[in-house]
Amino acid sequence: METGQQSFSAMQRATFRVMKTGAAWGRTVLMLTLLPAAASFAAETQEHHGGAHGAPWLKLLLSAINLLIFLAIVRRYLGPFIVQLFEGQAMPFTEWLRFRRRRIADALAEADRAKREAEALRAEWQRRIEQLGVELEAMLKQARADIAAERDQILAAARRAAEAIRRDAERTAENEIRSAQETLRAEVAAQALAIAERLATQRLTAADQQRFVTEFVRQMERQ
Amino acid sequence: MSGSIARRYAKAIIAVAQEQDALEQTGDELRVLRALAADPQIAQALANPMLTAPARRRLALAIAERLTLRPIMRNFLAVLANNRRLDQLVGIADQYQKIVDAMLGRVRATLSSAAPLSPEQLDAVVAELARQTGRTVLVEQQVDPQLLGGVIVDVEGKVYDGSVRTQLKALATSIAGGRSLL
Repeated sequence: METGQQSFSAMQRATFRVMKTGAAWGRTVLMLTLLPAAASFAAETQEHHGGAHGAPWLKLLLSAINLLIFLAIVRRYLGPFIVQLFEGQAMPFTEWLRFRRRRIADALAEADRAKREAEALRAEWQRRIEQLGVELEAMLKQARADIAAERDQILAAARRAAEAIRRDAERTAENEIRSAQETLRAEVAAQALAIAERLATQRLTAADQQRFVTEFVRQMERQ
Repeated sequence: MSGSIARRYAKAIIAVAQEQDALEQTGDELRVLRALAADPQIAQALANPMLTAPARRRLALAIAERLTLRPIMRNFLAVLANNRRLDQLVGIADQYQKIVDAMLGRVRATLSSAAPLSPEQLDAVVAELARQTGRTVLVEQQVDPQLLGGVIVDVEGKVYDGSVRTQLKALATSIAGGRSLL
């Protein structure tokens, strides 16, 4: 009896220690597992030490406690569901199963569709990558052609500019030559004029003056 | 503006001169007055706005006395002085000559030559000018040795150039390839 009481106390202390340190779920599981065992152990101990003389009050008490714990657990975890079930809001189990099956089927279909889309996307990108090479080649070809055309344009413009510069230089040189020639000719003419005027002053006579006037009158007559 | 003023006064003095049959004499006196008024100092005095009317009249009469002008011209000068038109004397004389020449069928010409022309030469030139213009030609002769030889005649802006200098310059210009040497 004393040994049984000691074992029970040790078991209770262990239970309380677990209940203190563990989570609520742990405490509940531990109580569910240990309390019936403790009750059975106590009953057996009672029988073993001549329990035929006393009432099974301990067993009854433990069973009542066990039932209360059970009801508390049921209320704690299944209460809302039971309330909904009785109020007609909860889904029947078969319906729930069908719902679950449909959801799984939908999820599978969605996954299949996603897979197909991924494959299509992969194929599209594959096609694009392959086309990208072609486009890159075309772009390179176009760029080379553009560069060549631009080079030709630049060269043509440079040739035209060089030609214009050459023509301008020739024109400038011709103008300078012409100007020099005209200046030279003008100087010669001016000197000739100066000489002629000096000679005229020295050599013209009254007879020449007479001749000039006669010629002047004749010219007027001809007008 | 001043041209039309001078023309009005010229016509007025012409009308008075015609009444007295003194167009030529009046023209001669106007030429003398023109030469006087063309002098810069006298022109400045005649145009002086500070002169009072009596002072201007005294100036006009002094000029008339000094030049022994006829009464018609003395009165004309007095009118110009009263009207502050003494500074218009040059223009009036020019307009008078132009109008009278037109009335009498005359044209004035300036003849320039390197040496004075003989009377025969001058007659020949005048005769040809009269033939060209169809009017009597009054020639004013000038001597310009720069002409070297030949004659230049200016008839109311129309120039007949027969000078040696111009011909030599034309020749030199031709040698110079058209570049003017003048």
